[in-house]
Amino acid sequence: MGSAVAKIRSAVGGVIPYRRQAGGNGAGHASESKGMAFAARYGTIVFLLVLVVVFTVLCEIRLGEQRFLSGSNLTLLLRQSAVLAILASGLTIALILGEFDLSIAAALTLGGGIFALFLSGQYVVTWPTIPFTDIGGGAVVPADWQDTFLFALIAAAFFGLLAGVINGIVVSYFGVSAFIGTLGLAGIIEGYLIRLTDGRSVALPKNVTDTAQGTLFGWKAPDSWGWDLTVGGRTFNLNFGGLSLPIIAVTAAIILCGISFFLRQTEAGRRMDAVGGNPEASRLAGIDVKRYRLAAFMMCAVIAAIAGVVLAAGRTGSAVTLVGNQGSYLLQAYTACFLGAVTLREGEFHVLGTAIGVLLMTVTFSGLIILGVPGYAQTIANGVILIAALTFAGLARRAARRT
Amino acid sequence: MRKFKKALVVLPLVAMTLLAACGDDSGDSTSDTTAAADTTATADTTAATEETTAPADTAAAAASDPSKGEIPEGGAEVAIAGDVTTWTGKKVGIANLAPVPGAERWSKPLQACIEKNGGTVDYQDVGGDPTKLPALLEGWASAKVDAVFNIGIDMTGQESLIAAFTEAKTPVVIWGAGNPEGVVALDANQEEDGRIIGRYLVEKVGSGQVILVNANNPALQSREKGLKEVLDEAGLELIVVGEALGFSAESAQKSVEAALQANPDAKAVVGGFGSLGVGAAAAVTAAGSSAVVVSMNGDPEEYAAIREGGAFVATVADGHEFGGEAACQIAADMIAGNAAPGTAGKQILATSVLVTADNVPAEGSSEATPRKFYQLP
Repeated sequence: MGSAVAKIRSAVGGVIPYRRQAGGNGAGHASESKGMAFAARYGTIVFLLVLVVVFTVLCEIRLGEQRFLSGSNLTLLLRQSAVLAILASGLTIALILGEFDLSIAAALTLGGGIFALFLSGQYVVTWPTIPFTDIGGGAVVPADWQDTFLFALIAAAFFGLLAGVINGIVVSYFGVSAFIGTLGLAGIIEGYLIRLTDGRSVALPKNVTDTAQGTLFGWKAPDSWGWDLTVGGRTFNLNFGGLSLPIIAVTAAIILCGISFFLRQTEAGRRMDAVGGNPEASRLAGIDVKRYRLAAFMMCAVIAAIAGVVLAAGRTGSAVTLVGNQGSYLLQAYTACFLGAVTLREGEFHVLGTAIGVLLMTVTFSGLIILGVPGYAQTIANGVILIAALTFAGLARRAARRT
Repeated sequence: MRKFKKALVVLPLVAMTLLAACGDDSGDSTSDTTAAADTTATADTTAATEETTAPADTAAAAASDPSKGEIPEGGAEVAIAGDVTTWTGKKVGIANLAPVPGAERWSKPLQACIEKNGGTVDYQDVGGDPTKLPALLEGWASAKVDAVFNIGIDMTGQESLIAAFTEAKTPVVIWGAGNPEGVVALDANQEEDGRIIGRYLVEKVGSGQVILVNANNPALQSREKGLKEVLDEAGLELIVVGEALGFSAESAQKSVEAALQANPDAKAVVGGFGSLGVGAAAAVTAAGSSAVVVSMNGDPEEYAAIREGGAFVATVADGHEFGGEAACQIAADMIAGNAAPGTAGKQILATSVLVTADNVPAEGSSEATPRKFYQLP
């Protein structure tokens, strides 16, 4: 199997090119080359900032007051980004190793569903009953422990882990294509959840949702956090009063930092990076490639399950157990990861880039709705902005290579 | 380099042009849906399935109140009768759109009615995938079932199979799947549902902005039409969001959160479907808005939200359960050799009931006001 990164590069058709070769065309092109290199590296971030400015200005013009760049909307953006950021960061691990996991939306649904079922006391783990006897059938752990928050969380993560183990074994050890293997597991999870819940949503206790949907220390920025900014004769009243840090956003930040630390600062993380860069060389260097692939799928699925818990507790207040209703998360997560791969580091998937990709998508969604763009135009605009962001970065990269 | 400079100029202009094209949000976008967890979902683009009726009279008709399960003006009642003991020894096929309360509120009572009376049911769930329907119909045609039922799955393109069932005198009875030729089509009056909830809002909030979070589905578009009619007449402004986001509560929540940022003074939020209303309620509560939330369908999650006493205050309960029972009787009557009730080719509509905190059913129950069935001119 060739380089995993090379496969991904060919899959996205040159948007993620090879690293720029050393050397240049002479001193006369030095400043132009630096400019292109800057655009190639930071193009997506620049695009994000441009989008924020455009939405801010258009909001001022169209609505007469600032509703986009405000404390309450920034808090909302953090809230809306949290679940996707967690999910996409887990997917980043699999992508670093050159693998595609199409079961992340199912794992997300599974995690949320199992968490809710345990917490509401509808699911109790029992010992199997020995056939033809009355031995067994009791709760593995006392039932009143099983409906606690911690147990429910561990259970959700455990079910995610099981999904990841199955994916990893099927792909790494049985040699099944990741596309097919993970897609198959997604179907199994979907059927299993319907069997458990008949497709019904499972409500969560109010005390759990109230906490999860709260803000860090209940802090809120005071109303005095406002500034008037005059540009081109027009005054923008920027009011950041009401800005707060949602618990789920803080959770997402901790998880992303943890994943990033693992990938960059630990030996296991660096080995994963090596396997993704060149599996054959890694194998020859004594790295157990199959084991690290298995680990990547396990981590991806566990993180997806945790994202499901965050979604159920921190956003919807109940766990949706129909995988089909969460299917959009699959495409969104891949979009965020691929946006991130053209940010800061050329052609490499990385957690910070994924986070920027998530922000770009959330900002776009929020801005378009606030401006009252009709639904069909939103869908078109989302696609245009995605293509524009990737094209801008890709063109800059090619121009940098030529100079 | 030249190409790159050109792109630098062109691309942002294209993006800004699109962003600046803040057209009206009259909610007239109509496009087929593929996702479906909707009890009345249909992707029938030829749908003249919804009634084309006389405009709603915002002043409640003296003789009938459609919000209380009565037939709206202009409707002609259709008597539903059938000897359900006919089902003994018969076998039927039921195609269910998805394992969701909204669909099963019709299909499960239907199944229970048939099985209770000695019939055998082949209950098939397509999991929201309408492309599975042809194979099901073909299988049932080969198995020569005595009746076929379908909830919510688009039947476009199945004309030859429907004709085959008609020739074999096998009744085909559907709910919320359009009005193809050769079937007995039952449904709720979606446009009237919109009018019912619209009248409730006019009374509740009086004036101001109303946000509608809707999905791109013909039945929901009909609800929007009825709602808009009433709100326009009363002078309320309707802002439509989320048309492209399907039926997920979380998508509705995100859309409404953003819409409330743009319109913080909105007095009400309407979910075009039960799950959309539940998502909208979560958004309103999180935003600390005083807007009331209503929706349409009458699913258990909506009743639970009303019982909670929060932002969610009302829904319109479609008569799915009664529709299922009616389908059981209609098909039994047809198997016994009688014609379908009412005028052939016209949809048979079930009346709806406005549900608020005053009449919300207890947990585990459904809205039990007896429904009438009617056809429109």
